[in-house]
Amino acid sequence: MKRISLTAVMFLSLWSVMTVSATTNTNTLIYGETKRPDTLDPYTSNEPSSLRLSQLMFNGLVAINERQEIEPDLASSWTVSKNQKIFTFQLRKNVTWHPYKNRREAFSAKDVIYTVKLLQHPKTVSARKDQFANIFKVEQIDDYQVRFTLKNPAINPIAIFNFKVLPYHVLKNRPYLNKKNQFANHPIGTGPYIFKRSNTNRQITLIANDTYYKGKPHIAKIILKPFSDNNIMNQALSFNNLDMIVSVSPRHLSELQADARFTLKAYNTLSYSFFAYNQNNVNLRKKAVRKAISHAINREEMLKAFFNNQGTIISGPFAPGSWAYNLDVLPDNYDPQKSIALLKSLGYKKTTNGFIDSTGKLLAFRLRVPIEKNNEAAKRVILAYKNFLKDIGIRVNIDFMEREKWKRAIFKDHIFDITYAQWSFDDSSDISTLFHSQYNMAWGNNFISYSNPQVDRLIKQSLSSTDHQEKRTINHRLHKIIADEVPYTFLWSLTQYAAYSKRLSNVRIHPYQFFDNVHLWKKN
Amino acid sequence: MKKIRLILTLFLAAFSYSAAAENKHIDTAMQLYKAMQTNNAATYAIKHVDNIQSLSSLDKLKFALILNNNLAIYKDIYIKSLETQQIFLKSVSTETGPNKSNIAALFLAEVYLLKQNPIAARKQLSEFEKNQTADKTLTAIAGIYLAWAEKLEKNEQAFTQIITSLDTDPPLISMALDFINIMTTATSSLNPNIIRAAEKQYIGTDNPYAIRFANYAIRIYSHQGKLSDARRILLSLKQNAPSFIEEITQFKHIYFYEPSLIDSVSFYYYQSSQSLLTSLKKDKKYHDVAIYYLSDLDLIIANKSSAKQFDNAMLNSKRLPKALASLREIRQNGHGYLLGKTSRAHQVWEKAVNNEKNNPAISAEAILMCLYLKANCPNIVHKARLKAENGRSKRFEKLNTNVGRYFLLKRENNKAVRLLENALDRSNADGLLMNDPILLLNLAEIYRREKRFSESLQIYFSLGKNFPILRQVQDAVQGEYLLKQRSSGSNSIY
Repeated sequence: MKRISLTAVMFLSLWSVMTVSATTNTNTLIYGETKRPDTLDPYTSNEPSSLRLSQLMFNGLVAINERQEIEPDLASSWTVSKNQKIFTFQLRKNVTWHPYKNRREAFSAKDVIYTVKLLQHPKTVSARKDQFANIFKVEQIDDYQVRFTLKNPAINPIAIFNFKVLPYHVLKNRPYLNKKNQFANHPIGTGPYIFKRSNTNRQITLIANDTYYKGKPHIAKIILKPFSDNNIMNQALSFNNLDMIVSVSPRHLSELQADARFTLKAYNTLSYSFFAYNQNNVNLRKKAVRKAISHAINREEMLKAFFNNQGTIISGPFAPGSWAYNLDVLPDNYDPQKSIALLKSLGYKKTTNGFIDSTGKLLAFRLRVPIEKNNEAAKRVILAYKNFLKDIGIRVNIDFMEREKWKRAIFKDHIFDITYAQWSFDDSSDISTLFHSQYNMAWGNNFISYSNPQVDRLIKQSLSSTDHQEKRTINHRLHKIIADEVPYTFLWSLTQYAAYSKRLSNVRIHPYQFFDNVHLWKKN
Repeated sequence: MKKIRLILTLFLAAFSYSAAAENKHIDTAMQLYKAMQTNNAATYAIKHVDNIQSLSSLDKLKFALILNNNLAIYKDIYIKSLETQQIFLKSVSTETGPNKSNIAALFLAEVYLLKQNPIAARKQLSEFEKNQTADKTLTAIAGIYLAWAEKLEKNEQAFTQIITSLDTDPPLISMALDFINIMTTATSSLNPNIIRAAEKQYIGTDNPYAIRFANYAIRIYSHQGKLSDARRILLSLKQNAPSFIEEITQFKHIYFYEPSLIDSVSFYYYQSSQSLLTSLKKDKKYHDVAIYYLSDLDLIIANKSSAKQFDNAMLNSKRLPKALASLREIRQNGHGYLLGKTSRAHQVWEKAVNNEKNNPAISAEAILMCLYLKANCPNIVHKARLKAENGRSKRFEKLNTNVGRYFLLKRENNKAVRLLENALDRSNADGLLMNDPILLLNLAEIYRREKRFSESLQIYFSLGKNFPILRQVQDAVQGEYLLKQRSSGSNSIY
């Protein structure tokens, strides 16, 4: 009966996909996402879907294209001082902001200055604040010239200026930025697409910016359509109700590769999945407990069974596609006997119900995960994890939570024992905000409260180093230490694939921000 | 590729009816080979088969097939290593300041010498000399490399002058000298007892020159036909270990590798397979097949000196299974091409591509000849490309791969990436590694060239599990990636 109900639900969902959504035979690009960002501005949300949206609506002073080249964006040119600390940018004069209260304001230096001040404000809540940490001061020379002074020279100093610029005239009465700002739900940018509306289906509609400084985009409208079920999203693509899926699930790869109507494109490989352990938990604070858990998990089996083996098992905090991955560090092997021995060595006693501590309390943890309706692979991973731990005598209570509540519990309040998620990185492979103790704060990325003075020191050294080989050596060392410390059980890295209709042409996909030169994309 | 391996299996089965008792180790190696673990197959067979003469003819053939395939892959890895090492070492050797490398110039010089560029090598050697490293062994190696450069420039007098002034007392220096003799004149005169006597000083120890010793030893022993000695060294070799680690500061360590190690190991595969096939040739039933695979060996290394012999031999090798018979003329003309009969070769290859209707393996083979012999084949490739791009089934994987490799060689990157991606099977439940290693190598290389470094490294990471020697390429690509990446430190969670 359950199965029949499920089939009926799937059929109805699919029917709704096919009937509600606009057909894609117009000059509209409809793309499917498994998650819709909770906020739409470039800073208050820290999800890949948010990054993609930002790329459609905002610009930086410079852009980094998919070939790792720095391109002028809102700045038409710049000069750099000999000591690599002072950057003077000449801004474009032909850029206007998207309409706000029916007016289009001109972009100017005060927008740049205000963005930096806003993001450096202590009360601003953003995982991207770190990008502004090395800016000592920013000055307006005239309406179209700004001068930045950095605190320290750095590798790729110009890259930090790809931060998305926000409109002064819209935000001037707000000294800091957080998720509650109206701007977070009704963004105003300078980019190729203008926010039009977000409807009750959580679908987001953008329209072409006909005064975009690089030229009016060819595609008139872009719609982000969120799906809670990969199967239905895939079918929507097959039925031509979607033009593009930004992240294809491994189980659909073979079907899409065989379908001549679609292009399958690999892009970001710098991401990985993990189980994270809250160091505030008295048991998880012990390295041997975390190590025991890691040895109890058969990652090869899970990767094969749930992801069709379309990825690689990893050993530490970097993805294998990163320059920082230490190839000499091997993943913890599956060895439940070792797990049991480790727990016994800590004084835990094995009973018929599982391990107990010295007070007789069962060794049990609360695993909090967001509800990804019908995301079968994630659910299977979580259930398999629970079973693997049960096998060695650790109890796991799974707490499925609505996504926003989960984010608050994990990132803001740090109320959890274990969680499961994925990180995605740009090419800098910067893990500093994940493991430096400075980021152990509300809405910080170090939500597990990890603290290791040696790691802190190495992270600082890596960030301040201007020597490439030194930076690599330090990061290899970080990989080794963090792998040994097991703050996470590092699982696997999966290659991301986009699938899109061959009616789309001129498509270039940026490995991290996804939409690259989207104003040149065409739909036939 | 799977299909091709299946054909191979059927072809081998055709011979098996009269085979002597099969060697269980060869069976295990074949299982690994069929699972695309070519290098593990080769290593397993080399490790477990002590006496090749005791093998049945069929097992000799199987063993040789594994070695031939691994040779082709190692040759390709070698090309990738030279290119990536050159880029990485160039960036390191041009650094200035107190923490600059003193060693990079020496390793870059080796890359240039292997690429037959003595002028660039000489420049690096003089840079190395300026750095005045305290390491006497590396200084002596630099002296030998200078002699190597002189030899490549045919300055015999200068060459002799340098080598007579060398202190060849440490056996490693005598071996280095013999090594460059092999590289430049294909002759070796070092008494193998000198190497044997020195082995315990290096092999299985933490001697900083253990990898260099192994590299020279494998090359010299193999060249002298002392395959059991070469085998002993090979089996003890940690192929992913660096040749030298320069610890410049507490936080700056640079790993250096010798690309020539890849060539030395592949030379061992060449000699071992040749030995197996020469022995197999004595069995009348296998004579023509042995010739076919001996010819394959020399085509892989584009050996001109044996071209005449194989041009004739292949012409007369008529007793071949159907799958090989259809490729015989294409391959025979590969030897002809090396003999200078280029027009004829092009005609045969073009005709093969034109006439082939439903057997993309034939077109793939014609392109393979262009690749092995670095021949310019625009017309043939143009036609083959159309077939490749229109062919969607798995049967076209090899054709897509070879045409993609051709464009990679010609630096037509856009065409190469499309064809190589077309060849890739992303859906196999056993993962990426069920694809042909040659395809994966070339896809990783084109991604690197296109600055899609993370995708390149991810492929190398997977492939490196089966081919540890790829570490030198991975390390170089990591270095290049760090140098060229321009990102600002953004991450996102989902």
